[in-house]
Amino acid sequence: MKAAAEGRLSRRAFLKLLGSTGLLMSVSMDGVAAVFEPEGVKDSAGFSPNAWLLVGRDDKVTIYCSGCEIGQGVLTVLPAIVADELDADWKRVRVRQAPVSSEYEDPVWESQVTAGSASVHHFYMLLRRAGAQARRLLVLAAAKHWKVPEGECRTRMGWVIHLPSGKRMSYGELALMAQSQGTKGQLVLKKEDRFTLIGRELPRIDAGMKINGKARYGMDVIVKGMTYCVMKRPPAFGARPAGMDLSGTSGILGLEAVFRIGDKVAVVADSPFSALKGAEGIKVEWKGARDPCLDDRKIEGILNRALHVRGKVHTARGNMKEAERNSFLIHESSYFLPYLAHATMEPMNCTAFVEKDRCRIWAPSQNPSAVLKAAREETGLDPQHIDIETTFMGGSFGRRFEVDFVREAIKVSSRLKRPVKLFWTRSDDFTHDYYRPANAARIRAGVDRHGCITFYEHRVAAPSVYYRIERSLLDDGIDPSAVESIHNSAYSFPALHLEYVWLKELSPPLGFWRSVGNSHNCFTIESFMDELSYRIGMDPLEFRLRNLKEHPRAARVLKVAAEKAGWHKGPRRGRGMGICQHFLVYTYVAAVAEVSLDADSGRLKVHKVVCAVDCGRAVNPAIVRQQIEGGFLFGLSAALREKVSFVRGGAATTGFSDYPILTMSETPEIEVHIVESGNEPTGVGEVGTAPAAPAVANALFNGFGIRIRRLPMSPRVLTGLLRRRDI
Amino acid sequence: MISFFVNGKVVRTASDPATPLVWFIREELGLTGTKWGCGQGTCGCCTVMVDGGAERSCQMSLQDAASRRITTIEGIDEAHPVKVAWLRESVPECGYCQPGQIMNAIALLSLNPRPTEEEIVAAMDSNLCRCGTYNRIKRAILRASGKIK
Repeated sequence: MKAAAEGRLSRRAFLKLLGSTGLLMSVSMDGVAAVFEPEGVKDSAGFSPNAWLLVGRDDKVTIYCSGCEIGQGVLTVLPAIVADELDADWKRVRVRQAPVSSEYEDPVWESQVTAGSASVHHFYMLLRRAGAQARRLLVLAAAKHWKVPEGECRTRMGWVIHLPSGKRMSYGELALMAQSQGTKGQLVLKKEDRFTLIGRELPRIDAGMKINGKARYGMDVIVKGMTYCVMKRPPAFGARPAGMDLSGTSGILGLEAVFRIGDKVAVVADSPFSALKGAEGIKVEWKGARDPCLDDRKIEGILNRALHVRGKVHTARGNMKEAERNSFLIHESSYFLPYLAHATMEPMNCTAFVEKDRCRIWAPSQNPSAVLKAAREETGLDPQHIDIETTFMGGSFGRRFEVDFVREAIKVSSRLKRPVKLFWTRSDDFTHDYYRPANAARIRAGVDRHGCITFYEHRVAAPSVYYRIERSLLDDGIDPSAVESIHNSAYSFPALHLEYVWLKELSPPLGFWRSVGNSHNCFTIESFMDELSYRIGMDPLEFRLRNLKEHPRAARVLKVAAEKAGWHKGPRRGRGMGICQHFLVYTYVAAVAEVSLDADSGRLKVHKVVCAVDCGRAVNPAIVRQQIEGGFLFGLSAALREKVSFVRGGAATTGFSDYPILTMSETPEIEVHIVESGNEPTGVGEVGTAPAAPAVANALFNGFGIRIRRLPMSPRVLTGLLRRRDI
Repeated sequence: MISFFVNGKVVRTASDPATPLVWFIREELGLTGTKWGCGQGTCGCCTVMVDGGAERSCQMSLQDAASRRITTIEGIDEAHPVKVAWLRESVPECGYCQPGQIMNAIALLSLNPRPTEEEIVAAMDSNLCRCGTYNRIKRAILRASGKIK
């Protein structure tokens, strides 16, 4: 109730303010007021035909959101789909985070997990049906009550209206009658031109809470009687504690317990500061690093050698030999990309309270099904004795798909039989991430005299992400993420040969990182296409369009991005302009970047970026643009500066000072154009990330004649390339 | 016993004087709007105002805070022009860095009510955001300063 009251207060304050500053005209007021209700609010009595909604007798509509809010706006977008088909009054909608339950599983993945840019794509029809089902029952109940034909009734903003008589009843008034109303006949969904919320730029319901410091993140959980835990973690992957010296901890007030737990040492104290001091004071002797020689040089050597090895063939189609003979020009290039960290602003953490017959978990997790599984395995309790609250999250980008930090909290609480808030230091977060794998690629392709690709050969060498996460998806030893979006690229390849070299000897732990394999394959394919276009002397846009004949949607986003960026006018003096396109998570994206480069310092400035995206119907265009914009900057940050370093078998990168991420001064102006195609909605969360590196790399070649084949494009790399260009 | 003001109220504590302010504000006072992001002074998530200037509360001990006036995100009225501008520009994505960004912006505007774009970038450049909301932050500050409407 508290949060609902706050929601109303802030709305009043907001209205008052807008009124007093004369801004009222420019803001549409309906749609501002749906609010988020945190755990612990009692359900009002009402009508609930399915797991997704409850129509209260008080006319409030509660909508359950299965998606986890990691910044992508899912708490606003998914409920709006239900509310639209229900014809609910958005001002009376209360959104709640769905509990962990099979009813809320992703219909495609059969698991409750928010990942792969899939929320809207996978839930769109299911949520529309949920809303439509409830609306139909309300209409049937009203028609029965009035003894009129169903066809004479309409719904609008939470009311059922009998058209001939003008009689109306609110959803709340009908709730009890609808509850006992049986269904009959076919469920009819709205015609798209009748949408009232889908397609509108509804303000995010979480914005006010976040601005006022009221959104509760994992780190913000405070439980009565709670203690704090920091883990001392092995400096090298696979190492385990062999001995401990606690003499450095004497005199630390509030230090409660130090114990070994698996390959770590748990330090428990009555305050976070004491736990951190304790962890600092303890000296641990570690033994058994998986690969004590792992360091940057070793990784580089493995990547360099990898491209000379034949891999497993993923796709072999068309006649390569003949295609080679028919080629006017054949070109080959190799690319190298580093390990990357997620570096979420909120470090990993979890709060757990395990009792004899009950377990409660407050988890900042994008993977509630995995949290439940971890809790069952760690405690042996049945699901009905496990309560999980999914909190807000300070970023995820794939990191919170993992539940390693959840298991740690459960283990420590089980042992102490007390509530425990376990948190990672920033250094833990960098040194024990599940990284985006380093990888290398060699591409070789031919074109005919008209600039049409004759054959395309692509070898990806990378360690496997799926080997640990889901081994069953390794297709005959081929990691599906490593080769994604190559075999199903929008380009027409009359002959295609795709190979994967599994770099088993690389030991850093791997995980999903925003856009996963697209984060490297978009860079390598689109850099290579750019090289081909220059080799054959064609405009990079024209060259791409010529080879995208089978995918008009890809061609269209390219044309829109080019037109909006002024591609045909070219870059301003002293700048370069680069273009690229990609197809991922069922969405088409294109980007144009305009850059300049200071030859002495190697300082690269990205001035402006124009993106065009066709994600089918944009359920909330404002959130689509926000995601593309943020996604692009995430990719740009990686392209310009990010690289995890390793030394003596573990990560050497320990903080933002040695893993600098993009700041405001490096942020370009970004324009996002949504290209409507009338298709069903598809992904956006990862879409902006993939094209960032190739758009900028291609712009550097266009303006300065240097070709980026190794990321990140640090000033040192850029000055080196410039020097070699001069010779 | 150390005492200081938090959001206008006197606070007294017998906690370890070396305790970073961020932990005291969050875990003792329960004002969790101030975020802990790195503990290294490198991200800016824990930015609060101390006697009107922006400070990283992970780098300030209770001892250093003695007798000073601390303002956290909870101490800023919801109708404050900076918060309203943040809402109007729909700045937050994950939102974790935003309280720190807002406190830094308010401190900037109190010293320089009509900053240029360059001055905004210079003042805000060390507050990190992983979701990439920087352009919106910049616009929100320009809006709050009356430069855009």
